[in-house]
Amino acid sequence: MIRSIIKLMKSNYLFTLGCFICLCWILAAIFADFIAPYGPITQDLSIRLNSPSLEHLFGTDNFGRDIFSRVIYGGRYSLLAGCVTVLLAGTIGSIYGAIAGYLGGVVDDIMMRLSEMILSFPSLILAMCINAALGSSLFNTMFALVIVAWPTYARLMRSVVLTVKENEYVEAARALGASKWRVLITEIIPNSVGSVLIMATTDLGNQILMFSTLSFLGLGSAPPTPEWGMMVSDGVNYFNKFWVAGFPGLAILTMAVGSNFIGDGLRDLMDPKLRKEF
Amino acid sequence: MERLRFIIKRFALLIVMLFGVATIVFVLTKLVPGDSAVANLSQRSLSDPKIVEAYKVKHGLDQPVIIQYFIHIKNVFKLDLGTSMRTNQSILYELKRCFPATIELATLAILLSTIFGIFFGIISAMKRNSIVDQIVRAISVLGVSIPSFWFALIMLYVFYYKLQILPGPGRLSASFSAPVAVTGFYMIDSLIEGDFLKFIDALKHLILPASVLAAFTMGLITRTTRSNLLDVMSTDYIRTAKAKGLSKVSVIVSHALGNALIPVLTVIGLGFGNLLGGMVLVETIFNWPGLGQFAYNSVKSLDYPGIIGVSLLIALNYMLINTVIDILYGTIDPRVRCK
Amino acid sequence: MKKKVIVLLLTFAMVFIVAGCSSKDNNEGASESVVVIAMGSGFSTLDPGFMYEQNPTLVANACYETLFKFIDGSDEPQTSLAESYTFSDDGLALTIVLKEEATFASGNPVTSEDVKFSLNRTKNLKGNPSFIADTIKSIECPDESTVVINLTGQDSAILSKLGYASCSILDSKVVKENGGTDAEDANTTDTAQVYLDATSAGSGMYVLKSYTPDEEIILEKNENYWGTTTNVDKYIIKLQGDANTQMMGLSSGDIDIALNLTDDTIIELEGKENVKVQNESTKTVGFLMMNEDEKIGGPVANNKVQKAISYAIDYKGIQTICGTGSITPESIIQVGFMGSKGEKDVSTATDLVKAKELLKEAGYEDGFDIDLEMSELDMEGVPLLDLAQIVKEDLSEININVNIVQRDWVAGYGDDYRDGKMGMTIIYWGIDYNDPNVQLVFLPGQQVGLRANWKEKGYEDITKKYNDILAETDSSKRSQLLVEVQDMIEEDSPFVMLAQASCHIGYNSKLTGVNFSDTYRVDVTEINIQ
Repeated sequence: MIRSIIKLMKSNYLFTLGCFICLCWILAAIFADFIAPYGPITQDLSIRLNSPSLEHLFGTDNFGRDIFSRVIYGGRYSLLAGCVTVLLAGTIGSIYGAIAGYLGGVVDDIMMRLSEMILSFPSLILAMCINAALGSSLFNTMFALVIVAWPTYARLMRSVVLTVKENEYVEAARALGASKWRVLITEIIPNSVGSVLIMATTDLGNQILMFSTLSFLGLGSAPPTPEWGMMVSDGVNYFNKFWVAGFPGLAILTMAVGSNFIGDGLRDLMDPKLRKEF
Repeated sequence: MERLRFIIKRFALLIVMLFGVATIVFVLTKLVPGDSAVANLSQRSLSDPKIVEAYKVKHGLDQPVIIQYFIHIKNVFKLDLGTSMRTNQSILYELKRCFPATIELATLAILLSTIFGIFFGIISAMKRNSIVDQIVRAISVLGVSIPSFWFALIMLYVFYYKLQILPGPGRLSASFSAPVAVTGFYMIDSLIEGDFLKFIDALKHLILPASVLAAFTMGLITRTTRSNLLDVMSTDYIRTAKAKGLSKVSVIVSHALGNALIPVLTVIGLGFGNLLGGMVLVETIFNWPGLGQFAYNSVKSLDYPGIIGVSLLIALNYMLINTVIDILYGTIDPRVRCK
Repeated sequence: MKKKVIVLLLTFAMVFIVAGCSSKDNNEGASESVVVIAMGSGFSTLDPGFMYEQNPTLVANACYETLFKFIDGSDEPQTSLAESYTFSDDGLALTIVLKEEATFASGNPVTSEDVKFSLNRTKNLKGNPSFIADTIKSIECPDESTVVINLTGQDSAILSKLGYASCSILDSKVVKENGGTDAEDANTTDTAQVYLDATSAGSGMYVLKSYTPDEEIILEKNENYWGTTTNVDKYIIKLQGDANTQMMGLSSGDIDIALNLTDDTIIELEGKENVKVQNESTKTVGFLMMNEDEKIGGPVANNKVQKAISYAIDYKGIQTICGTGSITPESIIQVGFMGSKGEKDVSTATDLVKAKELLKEAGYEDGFDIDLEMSELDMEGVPLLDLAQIVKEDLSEININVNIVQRDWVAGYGDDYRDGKMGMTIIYWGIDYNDPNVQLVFLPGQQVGLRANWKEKGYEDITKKYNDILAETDSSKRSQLLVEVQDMIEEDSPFVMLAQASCHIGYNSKLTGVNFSDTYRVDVTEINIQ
């Protein structure tokens, strides 16, 4: 596995780039206290809205806070929210999808229609409603993200399980007298998890995007928490001061691009069909 | 006969699911700890129990929740979506007002993303693993990764504020007044009015928001086109065509593309559905008086007839597209029909 | 694929040609003098009976007239549709004689019945502005041009109230024909809003031609206007509140008047010859509220702590965030009203030593943690959350650790605020009618006072003063009483006035008579094109 990833890194520059970007952000988030030159919420009204300079690499915002420091700290919230959402949504969705696909029949029909209902729902509006119902905080925002995200995993897992179910080794296990649930847990889920993992890497980017979207709309932690999305929304009122919204947005973009590159690379690796040359 | 039953079944299901969506929204809005009287009454009136009471009676909020629910569901089936608590206009009227603005924008966005997406996808597949391929893939990833709200701000900064070559938020410049509504599409209505300058102005206003919206779908279409084209090209029948000595380009255009584009159709359809839902941000930033803005305002003021109305419309759209695609698939690809 | 593209291009080309041919005979507006205004949206009706937001008052003032009016920014109401008025000796009846020559846009004369209908309708619709008629007991019409308004009690602000947009006089015949009623049950039977959202039925200088929510409002000159008019024939009001767009439109000449500029955008307009700007302080005031109930407010229920907090806040910083032109009033009555105690001297208002001393006296030497509950609302374009962040930083100087908690106005915040369940918050208060009496809601036992659980008990002398103010119709005496009542609450008030928001307007220098007004935003009936 590791060897093939190294091989992938050598052949697929985008994948390497993605790994590099994500690593940078993870390190920045962990060592924010050492990297950031200023506190993330330290105000200095005398230097409001200064353009980027040597003292303030990314300039300062409406309260004279250093945007560079805020961006560095902001990585923590985005990464946390992204990872937790993907983990929870992935787990819940996969189990749900696996059960539906494995049992089949009416159960499958009902379960899938239910998840389709949530899919058909405009996700942003759904998340906004959930947030309004629960109040806005980091935790509630993540909860809303999970609610919106899990059906996609359920769908994927179901379709994978449907294929895996037909495989000979599953037939064999069943013929040997293994119980239904045992087959599901020991044979089917382990063999289906690969594609879910690939999707999860790509989805990490999406979730970080979605999280910053909600935060942009004011549904996240309360200010002055340095969340990227909220920082971009600060910039809406100062759009002639490009740095206020520009740099936090760039942070969101690079983070999302990075995880998408990784996801794409992994997909190429796992999908044997694409490895063939034209 | 089999197909007809399939289609009828799909549509019956659609109705059941819409009912489910209405229920979910209703429950969600009722879970919110506040009430919409607070949103729509002024600070002073809130302290006046008489006014709060009158407001609740007017909007049926004095009934027990379960009764409210049944009244609501009954009305939905009668196609009466109620009256907005925010604007006091009927929801149908509001949706009719907002829908064309959104569709006009979404159509242009889909057009842009389809043209560029397919084009990029083909190039990328033809030059697989070349530097061009890498660049195109990077662009497509950029498209799906770019935060639309940020992209919108950047586009406004560059094209509106710095270069001043494209207009800013809104559907028309301030010097034009809205054309008489016939279709609700400003581009068409301005032509009906015979005002060519207005038409150009409306078109210019569409460019920025449509490009922002197109980015995501374009990324998806590029990816799908590329991977499907690669798939199709590795099949025996294409190999045969190649063995016959046909050039790469003619193989792709005459043989591979048709087959590869079927799944792309799905992406376009779903992309259209997604666009309608994803309008919230772009419309808010571009002050576009469409469904997204309406949805946003409705949620902000807990106008639950409004929220339900707009959610139903968007969900209906999404499901309709889905259903149509499913049925189409059955027609195009016999394998699906067998299942 | 190629074919499709070609077809598409051809279609486009054809459309262009067709359009090109038919667009020649279009030069509407060339002979008319049109003024384009850009202002924020966020309101939902133009029916005076439901109107309470500030932006639509601009439209109400253009299309309707009131009995009294505030002219040239004066805070004393002048007669408008009223010719003259007299109070009865006990102050409980106001007799108004109407101007004979006044007519509605429909040609109908303005009669006492119209006044009665309009005021009763506003009252009985039980909408947001209905409170304005709270002190009106009954209305009589002894003859066509005389109205007697009987009051429930003395009300020194009644003339100002009658100048409020919701007391606009409607053409009762026209409104009744379109579903309007002034009956007791008007809140369920009146259906005229749809009509009044599409057109107007008033006696104003302009008539409402069209209203597209969130997009635009078009006003055209009332051909039958009974008074003297200005030279502006048509107003196009673009509902576009974004400051940057307004700034861009103003500098390119697309927009003639921009009502929602910001400090930042004003800087961009500096040096532009065709643009003039005004930075005015409004009477919308942002304040910090602390709950008097110890169970809810905790430490901030303590008077000494409240005082300490008021000394710890950096008012200069607050004003910086609110923008040029914003000022901090000394007490609850804003600068610009009679009876105001004037502007706070920001250079001496902040005193950390004194603040710490007071905290020590209150027993909180080491400070404490406190939640500051905030909504997403903004005050004249300044997010209240921005003010909260300044306060958080300021209070950290005296060891009070503020934790900002965000809740949507609709999702519980509004309810809790109204019911006095909020421990500490920053919120704003916009005046509804233009009279200092509005601000008396901040007294103990009154509307806003109760939201801080500041009850009447123990403050009976203040309530007595309050009643005196309501009864005093002489302006200079009332002004004196207002100052006195503010002195009385000086020590105990749980409110800290942070700032009066500023309003930045910009307009094309070809216009004259553009002035910010708290009551009408700008009075469009005063604007002329040079």
